Amino acid sequence: MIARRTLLLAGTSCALSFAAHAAQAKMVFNRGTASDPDSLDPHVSGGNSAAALIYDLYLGLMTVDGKGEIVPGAAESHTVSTDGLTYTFKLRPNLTWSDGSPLTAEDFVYSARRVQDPETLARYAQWFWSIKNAEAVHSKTAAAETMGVKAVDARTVQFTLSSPSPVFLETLASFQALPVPRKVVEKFGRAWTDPANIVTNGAYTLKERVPQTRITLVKNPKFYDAANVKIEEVNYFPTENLGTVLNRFRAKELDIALNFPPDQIDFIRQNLAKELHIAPSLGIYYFVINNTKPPFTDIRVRKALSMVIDRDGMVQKLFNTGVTPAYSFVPPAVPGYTASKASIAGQPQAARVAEAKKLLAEAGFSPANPLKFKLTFNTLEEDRKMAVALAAMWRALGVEAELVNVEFRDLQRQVRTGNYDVARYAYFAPFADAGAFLNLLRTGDISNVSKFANAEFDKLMNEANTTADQPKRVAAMQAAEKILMESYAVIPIYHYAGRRLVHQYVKGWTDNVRNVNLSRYIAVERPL
Amino acid sequence: MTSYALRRLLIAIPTVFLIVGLSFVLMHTAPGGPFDADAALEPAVVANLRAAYDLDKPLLEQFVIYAGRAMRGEFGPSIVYPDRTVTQIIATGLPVSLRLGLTALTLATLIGGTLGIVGALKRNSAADYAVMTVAMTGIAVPSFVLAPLLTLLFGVTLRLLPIATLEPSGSLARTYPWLGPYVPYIMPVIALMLPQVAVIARLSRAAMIEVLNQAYIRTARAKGLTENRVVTRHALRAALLPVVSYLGPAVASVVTGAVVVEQIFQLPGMGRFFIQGALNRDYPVVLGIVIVFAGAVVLMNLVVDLLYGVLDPKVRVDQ
Amino acid sequence: MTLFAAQTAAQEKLMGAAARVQGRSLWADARRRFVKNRAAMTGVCILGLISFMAVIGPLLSPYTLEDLAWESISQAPSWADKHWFGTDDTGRDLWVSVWSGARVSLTIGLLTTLVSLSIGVTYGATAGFIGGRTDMAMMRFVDVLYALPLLFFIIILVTVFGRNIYLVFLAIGCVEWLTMARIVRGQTLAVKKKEYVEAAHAAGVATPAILRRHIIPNVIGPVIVYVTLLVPINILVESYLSFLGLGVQEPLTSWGVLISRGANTLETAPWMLIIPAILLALTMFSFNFIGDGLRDALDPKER
Repeated sequence: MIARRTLLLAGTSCALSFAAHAAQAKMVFNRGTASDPDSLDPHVSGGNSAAALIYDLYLGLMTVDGKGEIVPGAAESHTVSTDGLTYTFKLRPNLTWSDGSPLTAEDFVYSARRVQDPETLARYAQWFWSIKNAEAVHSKTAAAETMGVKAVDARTVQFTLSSPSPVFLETLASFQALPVPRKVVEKFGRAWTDPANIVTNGAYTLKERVPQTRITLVKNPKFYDAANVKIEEVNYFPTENLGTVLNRFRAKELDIALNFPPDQIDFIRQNLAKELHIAPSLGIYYFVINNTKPPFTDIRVRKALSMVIDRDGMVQKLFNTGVTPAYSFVPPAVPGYTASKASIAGQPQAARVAEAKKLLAEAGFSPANPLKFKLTFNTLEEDRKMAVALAAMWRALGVEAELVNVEFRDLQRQVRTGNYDVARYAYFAPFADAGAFLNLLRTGDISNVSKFANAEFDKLMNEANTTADQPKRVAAMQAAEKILMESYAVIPIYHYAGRRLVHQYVKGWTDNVRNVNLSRYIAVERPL
Repeated sequence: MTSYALRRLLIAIPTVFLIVGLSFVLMHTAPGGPFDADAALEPAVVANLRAAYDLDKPLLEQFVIYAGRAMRGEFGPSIVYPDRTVTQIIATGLPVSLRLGLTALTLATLIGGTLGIVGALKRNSAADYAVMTVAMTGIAVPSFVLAPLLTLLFGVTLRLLPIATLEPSGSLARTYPWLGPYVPYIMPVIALMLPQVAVIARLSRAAMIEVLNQAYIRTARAKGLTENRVVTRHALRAALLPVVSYLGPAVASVVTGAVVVEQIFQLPGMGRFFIQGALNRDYPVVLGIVIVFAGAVVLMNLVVDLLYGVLDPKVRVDQ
Repeated sequence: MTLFAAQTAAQEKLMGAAARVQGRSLWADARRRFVKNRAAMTGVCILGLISFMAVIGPLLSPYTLEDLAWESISQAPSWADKHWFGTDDTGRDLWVSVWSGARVSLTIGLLTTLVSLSIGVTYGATAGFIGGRTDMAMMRFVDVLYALPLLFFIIILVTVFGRNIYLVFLAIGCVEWLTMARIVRGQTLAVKKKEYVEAAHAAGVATPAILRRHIIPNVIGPVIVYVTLLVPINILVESYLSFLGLGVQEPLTSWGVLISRGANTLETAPWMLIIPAILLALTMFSFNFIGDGLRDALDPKER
């Protein structure tokens, strides 16, 4: 004990060792994050690993609670007009920015307009295009003032939509909808997010940012709920190499890790069972098929390729990290929606192989004239494994799939320009909503890289997207998904599960479908 | 000598220009662009982004714009990390790379040189074979094999050193706080140093053996000088020559090239920024680092040539 | 990675001794000396064995590179299952992977070296033989290229040609010939000034004949030595690229790919790292010992 105290004294006298010992004095949370956040400007960032950090820094009208549910944030309440077109938010009293200046309805109006300003280069401006005139403002065909957002008074923000949007509250809880401080942004320009300049309104504010190494946040005493924020300092450590992530977690350099090498799952189950958290997430791993390119225009070919895949076997043996086999497009994790599964779901594997063979033969393929195509995937260990496994299963049908491994950006480019046969794809929805998935396959949608085109599907989705009647909306989407699944336009493989490592001394961590855990709800009771 | 140095520096300018031009063309021909990221973006959004970074202009025009700005010292913001300018990225990466690289190289020269000379003096003895085996192992074991082994031993099992952070964590830094700023570099330096130790040991051994066979050394011995004096006064200087000329390219490539080591230990060095830049198609970052690197190589080659002239009177640099 | 640019330069220096090879009369002598060099001969044997296994190894196993066995994922080496080197994380047989990887790694090492060899020898010999201003200009160009950030360049080339690893290595060969050109040029220059070459000139022997009879035999020694040192470097470069995820693609595999994959499973399936790493190390050892042996053998002063 005496020794420790001496050490502590020696430590504090030596500035360099400050960090090592300070950990014992105040509550520090060391979070692993997948990569260095691209930007701390919520309107400029593309999300992904930056989102968690941005949620710690800013508070939107809507936010996410400790269980991952959407709840009012800066707004204490909101009302929706009966036609579903007008949303009115009442701000909490006495809200301020971290520099002490008042946070008013004007800040939210400014921020909503800034996202639509083409100069801002917001990646997901289209999320808010249900707001009246927003799209026109983004394309510079209307003035920013014409947008359907206004400050009724200092504490009241009102949005006017052009048509009812069932996901509007979800979009307001997204990272792209967070408010930014106008004065600071206008004064410093691009450099406003520097630690010296930044002003935030969330539970934390930025202290230090070392590129590719560490981002340190400190508690914002001006936060309205600061009394309930336990962690005083949050360090985000971007770590790309998954092997390194696991090592850092084991050495307690990281209190939580958001990923680990999937091939280490057995080791982790044995040695870190209590630290392992697996929870369903809003992601689907699938293969896209170029529906407009023969022979994939033939549904028999598409169906054969999809039905022969032993999803259950693969998930049990090869990808045993908690993912679930996918026979539908919408993941089971989406609340309030039961997915429509493809009819192949219940059939035994042997029967499916037999039928697939029959279908291919009917489509004109034989050992003498085998189906040949390119299977494109990108340079990641799990994708390599998947591609090898698929090729092996298709080979059993006499199909010759040539494996083409390209870089991630190359894959995206090829797929989006329609220059592929079958390619690996994945999608993580920004909102916990079935529409966020199914809309990807509407005719002409930018993400519809399979070029699936079905008028009935489009009609049903259009109906779902513009109705405020939830049961009606769900029914339309289920009908649309049934059409999609029976068209075999894409090959769903599995629904993702978040795989996390959380040390037991981290309290308040919840596994939720959004995979959002704000630092403000967590406590770290690190053993000494 | 000054005019020689000046002439060389003058040649360096078109050299660097040429290299940047080549990199520019190659980077832009690489498939995929900086905005081909995870989620598909709205076409209007992509058009805005491309216009903001001049990517919608013809390639030649882009290059002229870039070259003009670069000559004024403006390397622009990173496309993928828009909060940062390329200058800021280099300002972060260069010191880390220099610290890592120079430490590794200095240690490698000291250790490798000593080993090589010992090997040469005790030629074909057990000591010689031991030295050469160590040297060979350094060449044969790539750093991406060595690094995980080190991490597992010192980081995970013994908890002695930090694994991948610039923070002074690990028990070593807790016991000896003054080591704080150095501990994050210990494992990377070892991983980076070993292959260099190997090369330098072999190099200095070969050079020393050769020198020891020379007539003037035999004369020196015949004069009755002690072996110690012969080695320190006469042989060492000559044996250092090949090591010095090796260090030229080695400094430059170690400083920016420890890509793999930086990747494993997550050090924010130039190599890591470069790889990420190349994969992300972050054109300004890649080009900025290429400029720094090409400049460093040119400079180091010049320094080495000048140093060579100092060490070896036979070589006159202005030939 | 740093190894790469710097090591080639280092080996240029190491070549000093070999550059003193004198004429044909010493070839037999050199061969005798080489055969007596135990380390070098061991290197030859090991390399021979590895190459042999690279050719027939995959054929000996009942498995193929494409066989996935979900029942036997990450299995330790076992004689009974005929998984002599165990299996990887997809249940593929490691014996087959390792020897197929050997094929790719060795091919890449040789192919790349061959490219830089042909360019470097042609360029260097031309510069040295013509001499004068042409030589000056040609060598200045080499100096310019020396400032090229080689590793970075390779990474850029890989991103451009990402789809075809052989094309990438052709490209590396194309940037890697500089040292070779310097060696050959220096040697040519030295030989050219020798009395017997000048005599041949005076006697009216045609240039190609002089090249064939006098220059090439004298240049070949140092070039061979250099080649033995360049091949392992190229194999290493490939493995580094593979580690960075820029190397060989499925269904091909290489030692670099296998090692970087194995490095992740160090504790759970150590054989996945150890076996390919040992083979790579052995190959490195062998090439370097052979290189040293050749240098010693070709240098008349060494015994």
